[in-house]
Amino acid sequence: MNKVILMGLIFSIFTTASAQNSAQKIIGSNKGLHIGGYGQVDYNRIINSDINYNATLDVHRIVTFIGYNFNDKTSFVSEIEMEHVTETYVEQAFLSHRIKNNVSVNAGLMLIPMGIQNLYHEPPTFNGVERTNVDKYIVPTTWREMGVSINGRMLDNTLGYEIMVVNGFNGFDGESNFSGKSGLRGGRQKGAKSYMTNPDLATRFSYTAIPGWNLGLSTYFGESESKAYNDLDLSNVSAVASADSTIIGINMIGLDSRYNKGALQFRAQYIVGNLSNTAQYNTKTGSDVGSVISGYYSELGYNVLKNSKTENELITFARYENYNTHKQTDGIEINSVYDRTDVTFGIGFKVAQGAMFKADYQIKSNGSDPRSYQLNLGTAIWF
Amino acid sequence: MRNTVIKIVKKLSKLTALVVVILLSFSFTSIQWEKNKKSRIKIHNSISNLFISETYSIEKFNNNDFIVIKENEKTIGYLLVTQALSKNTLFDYYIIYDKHAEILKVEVLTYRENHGYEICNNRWLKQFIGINSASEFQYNNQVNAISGATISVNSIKSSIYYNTQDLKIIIK
Repeated sequence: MNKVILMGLIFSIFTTASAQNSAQKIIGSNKGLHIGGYGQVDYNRIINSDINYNATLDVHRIVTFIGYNFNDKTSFVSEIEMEHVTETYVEQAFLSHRIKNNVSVNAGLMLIPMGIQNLYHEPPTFNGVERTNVDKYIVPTTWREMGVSINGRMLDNTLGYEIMVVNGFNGFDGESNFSGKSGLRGGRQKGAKSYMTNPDLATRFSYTAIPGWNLGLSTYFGESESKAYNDLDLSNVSAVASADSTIIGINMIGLDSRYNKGALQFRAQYIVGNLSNTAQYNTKTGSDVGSVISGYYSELGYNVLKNSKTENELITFARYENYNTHKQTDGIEINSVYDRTDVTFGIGFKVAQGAMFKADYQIKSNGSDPRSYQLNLGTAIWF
Repeated sequence: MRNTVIKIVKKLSKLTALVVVILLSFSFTSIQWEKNKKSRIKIHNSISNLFISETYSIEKFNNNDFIVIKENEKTIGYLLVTQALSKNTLFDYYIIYDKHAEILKVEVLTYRENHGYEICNNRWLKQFIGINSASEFQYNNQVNAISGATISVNSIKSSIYYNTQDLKIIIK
């Protein structure tokens, strides 16, 4: 009996000499289903002393995240979005495989890494009820397309990078999908039977060596897609020339910065898009797309509860934002209505990590119309 | 007949004891960080540098998750290799404590996704060294946020706090 127990104990000690804690055991079984989500419910009302505008109350978006880790290196990520209650989209759907400790390859429907909010758009992560308009009219959030990317970190995890090859915008499918007012927004293909002639290239580099400070550089180079190229006889010179007039070239660069220190929050972003061939495109399609689109904002926030004995946050903020989809034009007159400026003041009351009540007031102006004013109230969640 | 039954019971007891011991042995799978050369080297270098020792030994600390670091049979510190949640999956990190459970170092060993990797920045992680964890509120107030890494920041912050509280209770 004693021998048996002794043998057992020796075996036990031998195998548990390298035994580990309970959390380490999870490393060996690091797979499974992950479910999360985020959303925002908004109230918007234009304030005018002479004209009454009804308020809108909208379940703006509810997004369900479903991810699955097949093993330590391979996972699938998806986000299913319901917008305005009735519209359903797939916002992300990609397979990710880690090929080295700091390098992964992703393939599928992915977010274009341009600017801050296209990547980080969960409502409690930004101030204000609505996303910034630079990230609506210049960067057409949520901008996602089909492709392959390689991403990773270097320099002791202080420099992150993402290099992505994706399909371009659907610029022409019998009619123009770009416009002077909304820029490139109408051309997003969103992974719904997307088509492509040649892929576009998107990159992003994030530098985070200084704690609390995140500096981002994003680029996007390529051409929009056109259905005029499908089934095109390349020997037919006039048909090829006609098709060539239905695409535009897109060279977009973005610079962004985020800084957090104690109660203080600061973020700023500048995006410029140089669009080529717009004169031919506008002539061919009857559109009024600008040849340069650009926008920027600067925002300062302060958590007034930082030093009080609560874990809640009450963030007050102010933001100045300009976005111009007719910064320059080619062959058409500049429409100054598209040179828009928003000044926003607001508060956000974070009652739990991932749950927030928001309120803000916006003063909106453009190059020709009188100022307008808007009140926004909303709830924001993320779990 | 009675003797035969007793013999069978005794044999079964031996067998049961052996099975229980073997099962207990298998209930611990092998240490992943010890198998991973890069992790092993990182942790070894950190312990060597922090305690200025090449002759330290490590051993499991009773039945909890911590590992005791010893020098000449005397406890000089503690090690915890553990995991916390990032946005979509788990990341691996370790904490080295002195013998009074004060944090000497925190480092991320493996971060598996592209979002939130900013917490791997060793300069940011330095704020946990010697952090006052007397109260959770004070502790939380001392940790700076990172834009774009909210989930991972909160996750590692909370994980470090509760593990440190656990160690302080254990060594009391």
